[in-house]
Amino acid sequence: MADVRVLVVVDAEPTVRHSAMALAAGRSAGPGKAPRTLPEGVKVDRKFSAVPISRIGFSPQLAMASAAKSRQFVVRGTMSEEAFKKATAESRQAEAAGRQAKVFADPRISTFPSAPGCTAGPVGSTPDVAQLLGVGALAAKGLDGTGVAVAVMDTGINLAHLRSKGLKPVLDAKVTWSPAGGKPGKYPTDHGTMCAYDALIAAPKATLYDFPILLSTTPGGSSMDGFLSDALQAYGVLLALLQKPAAKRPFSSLVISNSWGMYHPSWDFPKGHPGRYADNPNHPFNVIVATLARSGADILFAAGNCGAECPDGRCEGVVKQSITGANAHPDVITVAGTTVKRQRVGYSSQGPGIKGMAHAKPDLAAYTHFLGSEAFGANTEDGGTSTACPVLAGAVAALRTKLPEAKLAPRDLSRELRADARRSGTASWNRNTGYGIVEPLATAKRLGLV
Amino acid sequence: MKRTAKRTRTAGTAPRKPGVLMTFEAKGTAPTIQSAARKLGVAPTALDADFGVLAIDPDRGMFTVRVMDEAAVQRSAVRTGVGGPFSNPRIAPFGRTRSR
Repeated sequence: MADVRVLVVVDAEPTVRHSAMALAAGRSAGPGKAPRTLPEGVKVDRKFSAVPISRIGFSPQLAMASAAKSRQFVVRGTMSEEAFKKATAESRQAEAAGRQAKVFADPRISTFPSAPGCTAGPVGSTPDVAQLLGVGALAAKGLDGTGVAVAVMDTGINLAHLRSKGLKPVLDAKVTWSPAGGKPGKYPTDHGTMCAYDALIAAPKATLYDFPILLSTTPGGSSMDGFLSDALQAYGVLLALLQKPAAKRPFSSLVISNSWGMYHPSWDFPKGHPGRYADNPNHPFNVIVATLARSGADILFAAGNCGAECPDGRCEGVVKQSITGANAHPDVITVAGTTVKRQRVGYSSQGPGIKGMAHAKPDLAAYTHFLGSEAFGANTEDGGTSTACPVLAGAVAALRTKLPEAKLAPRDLSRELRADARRSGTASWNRNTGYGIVEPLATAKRLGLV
Repeated sequence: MKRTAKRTRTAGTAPRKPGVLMTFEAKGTAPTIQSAARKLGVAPTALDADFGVLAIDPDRGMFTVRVMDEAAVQRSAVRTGVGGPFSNPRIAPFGRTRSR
């Protein structure tokens, strides 16, 4: 029968006090001999330094927990299972009688395994994502994004990189807006190229619109930030297109993918300010989002990377009410992230949405943290809810190939996708993955598209 | 439809300021910078001409402009039919970039 490791409280005496003082001086030395008050059956660990403690069961006093002054110490030892059972029973009796227990378990401990996505390195790859989305079956029925425009609101797209990954991207360079110049499809390979790649997984024949709104000259920000007014301008371009009669639009349907947002409330006006963005449906950007959705655009926003387990540093520890602004707009699909193993990634922002906007956010989850575009180098993952958003945008674009908004409005398509999502429990909505992980093939089947 | 703002910063110029956003309602023809400035009661130079006058809800005749002059914002904010100032916060990608 194996011995049990235990921690034992013993009274002060020279052998344990010397051991503790040696540890305080930087030397490790266990008790030289078994303490007198060591319970019966305990074999003391002579390599484990005694630890001074304040008296258990009383308010801790730091001074009384010093090696020089403590009246009690903890030592480590082992005892047989039989002796441990007896000591446990005696400890319970002692506690019941208001006396102090002396023998405690010393259980094995280990590091908590990181939440999925909290460590670098991909989980699965593009073929896994394609299989989970049912891309093969969708494409077999012509649901591949043909005629559908996917506007990528990001840092710009690099078509050469997409081609190097075996894709045949179609990009309409006439529809664009940039705060800082550059040519559509010819921006440096970065976050925006990753997003474009991810959108093309389910909709390889969609037409890309390149809106590099995050190429900023923001003072204090990085070179990959922007102002909300940049997004507003880009949305203005798209609204002008949607105001045209359907026959004069350069697309049959428009899907807008937004893998961006605010990381921290300090980026906005203070709480309570009537011009604040985060929780204000009347903010001009939230107004134009509603207008575009009403005009027929499917708009998707990433939930954000402020999930409790491993939030982005820019969240500054704020992991509640972190889905804000248009990311929590009632007319958009807010996308959380999961791995291809259908586990939520630890950085994916959790709902509910900020008070003042839609409560049940995120709406859906899609795949991220997989080996895909390698936009950041070989074997690097496509990560963040930044990836989940265009993955789902591509799935929406695929469905829109044969399902124009005249037949099913954006809000209704969102509802249909939610209805078919794979739920993780019995509740219809949860704060981690919303209504569940998107199952576009199931929706396509139910709507008679395949 | 291709629009590229002439905002590329050159050496020695001040960094872009975010400014704030204001909204107003207008019926009939699309407002110009001048007519928007009159509506807001500010000089046209207080408005960001590159941003222009942007329709955000054509059905309601609602428009937005970007105002760079804080003093002008205080004057226009109290006018009837004018909304704001609204924040123009920094935004960033929800994922890694090569610069981070």
